[in-house]
Amino acid sequence: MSKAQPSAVPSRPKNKSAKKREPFYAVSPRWSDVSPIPLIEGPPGQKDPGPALATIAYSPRYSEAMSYLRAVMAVNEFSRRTLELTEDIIGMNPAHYTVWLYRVKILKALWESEGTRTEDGVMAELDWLEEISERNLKNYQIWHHRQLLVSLLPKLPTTEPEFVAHILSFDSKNYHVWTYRQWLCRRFPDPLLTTEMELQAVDALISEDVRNNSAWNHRYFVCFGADELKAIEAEGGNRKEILAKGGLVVDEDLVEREINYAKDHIAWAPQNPSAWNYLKGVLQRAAISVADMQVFCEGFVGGRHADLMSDSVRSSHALDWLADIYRLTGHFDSSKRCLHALANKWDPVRRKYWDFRAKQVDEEAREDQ
Amino acid sequence: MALVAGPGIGGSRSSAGTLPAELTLVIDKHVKYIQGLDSRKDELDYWLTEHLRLNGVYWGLTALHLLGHPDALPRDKTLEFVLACQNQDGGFGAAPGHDSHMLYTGSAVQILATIDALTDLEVSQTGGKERIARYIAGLQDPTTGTFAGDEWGETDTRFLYIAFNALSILDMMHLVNVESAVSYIQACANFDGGFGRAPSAETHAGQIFTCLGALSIVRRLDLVDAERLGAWLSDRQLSNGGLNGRPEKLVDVCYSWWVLSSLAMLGKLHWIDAAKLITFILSCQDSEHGGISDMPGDMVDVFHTVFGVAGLSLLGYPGLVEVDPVYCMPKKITQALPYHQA
Ligand SMILES: [Zn+2]
Repeated sequence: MSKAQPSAVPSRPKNKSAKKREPFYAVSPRWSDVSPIPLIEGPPGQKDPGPALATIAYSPRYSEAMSYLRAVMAVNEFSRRTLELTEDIIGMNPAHYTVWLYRVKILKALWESEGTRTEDGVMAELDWLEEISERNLKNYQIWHHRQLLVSLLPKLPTTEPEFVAHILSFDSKNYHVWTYRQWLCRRFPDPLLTTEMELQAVDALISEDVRNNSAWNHRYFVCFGADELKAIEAEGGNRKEILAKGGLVVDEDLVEREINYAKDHIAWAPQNPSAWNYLKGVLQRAAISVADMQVFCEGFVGGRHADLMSDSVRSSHALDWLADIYRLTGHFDSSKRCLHALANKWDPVRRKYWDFRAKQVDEEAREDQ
Repeated sequence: MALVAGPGIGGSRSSAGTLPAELTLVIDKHVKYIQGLDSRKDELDYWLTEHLRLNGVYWGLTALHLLGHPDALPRDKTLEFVLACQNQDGGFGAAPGHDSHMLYTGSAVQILATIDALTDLEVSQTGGKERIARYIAGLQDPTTGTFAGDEWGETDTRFLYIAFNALSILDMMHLVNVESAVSYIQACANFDGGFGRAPSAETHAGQIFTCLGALSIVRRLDLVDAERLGAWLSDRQLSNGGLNGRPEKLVDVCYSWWVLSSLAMLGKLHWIDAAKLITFILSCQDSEHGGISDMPGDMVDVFHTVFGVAGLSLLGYPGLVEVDPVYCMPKKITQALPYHQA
């Protein structure tokens, strides 16, 4: 029960090769008291190896480890050796979800029996997890495991933002990491959202790759989404209703800052859909009409009277917006010129969509007369 | 995602110099490819994907049905295997001996409906359908209305969709709170008009599919802005004809399916260039050994094979059985479901 004892840092099995054929557990004196439970294949009593596509063929090494896992799980053994066993199996097949859940139970039992402080136990486990995370970026279990561990902590570990940034440097659009990052912001709004910390982090990612849609989504979350979510959870309903009700405070300085931020980044890469989508989202949130963006959008097509089939057009998104703006302000011919240019020159793959929009403009023009 | 990937490479052709536009779907080779998956179980990939086994049967079986070869896998053995994956709690695991999970339970129900075995289930065990349905219903979060994947609680609109998919097939929708699930889906709507896996999570074509699919099943598509969403979805088509799942991502056959089926649910299928997408999907098939890959030049697998074939079916490619965009199952099977007779 000594606290000096190293907390839950498992020793690493020497050989993790899943292809290896030699038994590992069967020859280990540490496991001699366990009778492995092999998997019974197919329905009981079935002689035949099983139906098409279905017969399970394990590598002998993996198969052996699993048979020991079944045996120790059956008697709820929570010990050092079972912790190592879970590491061995996770190393061979990190997608096996049951083994992760068992690992958490083992950890909690060990912390208790060995007198390890939860914080120390969690930090040691996070260290262990880091290496696996880099090798298995798309694996959900790893992130779920991390969230479970961090939720046990009273304060944001100072290393966590760094770790998330590190993982995003391998794959900046990884869905699991972004989900985890939002969870982290909601779990520890102080300091992530109450200071500039998260905003600066997301700005760095956008500066690195202005087309990173995940980063733009996160920016919306940091500036507006977290509040919207709170309102949705408190009042029920959905985003649209909450916005329509007007109950959310709109900080005008914040809105102005974000509109300018989006505009600057559009100017930098006019054909980037993420920044345009973001701008539309901010305008909607603040109940500002897109018509206010007319001059801004015209700047990307060569002005009000430019030849829209010529190279003066630098953004199909600007044309798309202008088609809407001109329609809303009753300039139906201008609107149709934009849609015609989109269908015939700038985005012919979606010609049918632009034709549909043009038909809508015609209908509105007719009603207007 | 690879399930028993390879051995073929998408885009390889038996006669060199054939132009992509002249490619046709090699139906017989795809059938042989799927039938042959089982014989490759000595390979490492096979057991590494064990946690996907029941999904794999659904993908392979559905592809065969859409290819017009519903009997290419023996029905009795398929049924035997599916039932062997069922656990005491009523749910299904990925393979015999695995814990139950929504992902596999959904696949199991879809397989049972596809091989017309839902009645067998009632014969072999009393209240068989209801036992499965109760497992699924038990995964609904009573406060938020969404569904977890298993008893440990990962939530994702994907699981909500699978729950509705399976429960409607079983005609047991009355076991869950539809209204709260629907408002959860609405809470997942984002500032760009799309949907994510949870509120505030980034819009993603796969999640749009699951949210629209769930809303279609309960006939609440009126809640979405079809034009805005249709515009976002059609914007996923790139000049090579393929579709991506998010802005600035690579095109992929499986995303082509999720975007395409979503557009079909919204009645906007015609907003994309069908001929170009057909060419893209065909350029991902291995026309020598069968199978379809995620993009030209990659290894084929059964996951992309079914979604490639389903996409072609939705686009009206000749010789294929019509697919239901909501269920990714043959339409004549879903249309005959009691739930859809009401
Ligand atoms: Zn794919």
